[in-house]
Amino acid sequence: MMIPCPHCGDRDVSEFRYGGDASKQRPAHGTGDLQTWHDYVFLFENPKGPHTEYWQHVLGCRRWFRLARNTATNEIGGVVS
Amino acid sequence: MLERRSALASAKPYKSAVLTIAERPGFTLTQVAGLSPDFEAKLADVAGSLPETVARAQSNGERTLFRIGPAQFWIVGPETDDVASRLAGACAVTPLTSSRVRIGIEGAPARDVLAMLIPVDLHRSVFAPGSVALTGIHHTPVTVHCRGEDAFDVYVMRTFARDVWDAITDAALRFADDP
Repeated sequence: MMIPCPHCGDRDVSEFRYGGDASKQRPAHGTGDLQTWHDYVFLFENPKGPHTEYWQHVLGCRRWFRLARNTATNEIGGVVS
Repeated sequence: MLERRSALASAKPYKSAVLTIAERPGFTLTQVAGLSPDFEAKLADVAGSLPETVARAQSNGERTLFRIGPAQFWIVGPETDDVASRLAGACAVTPLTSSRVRIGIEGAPARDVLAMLIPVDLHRSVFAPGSVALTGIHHTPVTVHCRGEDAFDVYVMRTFARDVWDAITDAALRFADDP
């Protein structure tokens, strides 16, 4: 699988680190409700199909970015701003 | 005075008629980064013209500049280079000379050796002289610079240099006498 790093161009997936679901909304700073934080930190969807996720070019420029990927086909939809 | 010790002093030397793999010491490596709009102009004043895109190198006299990311450069200079002090205050300057080992790979099979080690397209039309890739060998971050048709420099972190040296020389064994 090739991933289009926004800085280095198309590079092999082995140079990257997966960083999780990028569509989750972090609770507002100062939110005291533990259930809200529990859900944010521990509960994950496992979607089949289009997905927006964080990736880091860990062996390259070390920058983080958001990537659209189809989890069923590994088709890359490109970098999401 | 403290003397510099090679991280590869205990490494087994590599010898072949068609391929040279050897440490290339005697350089100064400076990383610079800046976010201000005039950062690149200030850098160009001191270091000369800059590579236009990421993953490209630009040679200016004794110095070679790599653009390694957005607003981030490596400056490879001669063993004594005052570029860091001349840039102080203009950007974030990180001296990396002591933290990196430079391994040179030269000869007709050099591309084939590297192709066994890094997941980068090394075809002559793609990774031509002046190309730079931040990638990994043996799960270790390295920077690879193509400085000639069949000449490459691999910059590796000092503490991983022995391991990467062994990986490179192992990969080169099959090419030792068969260009």
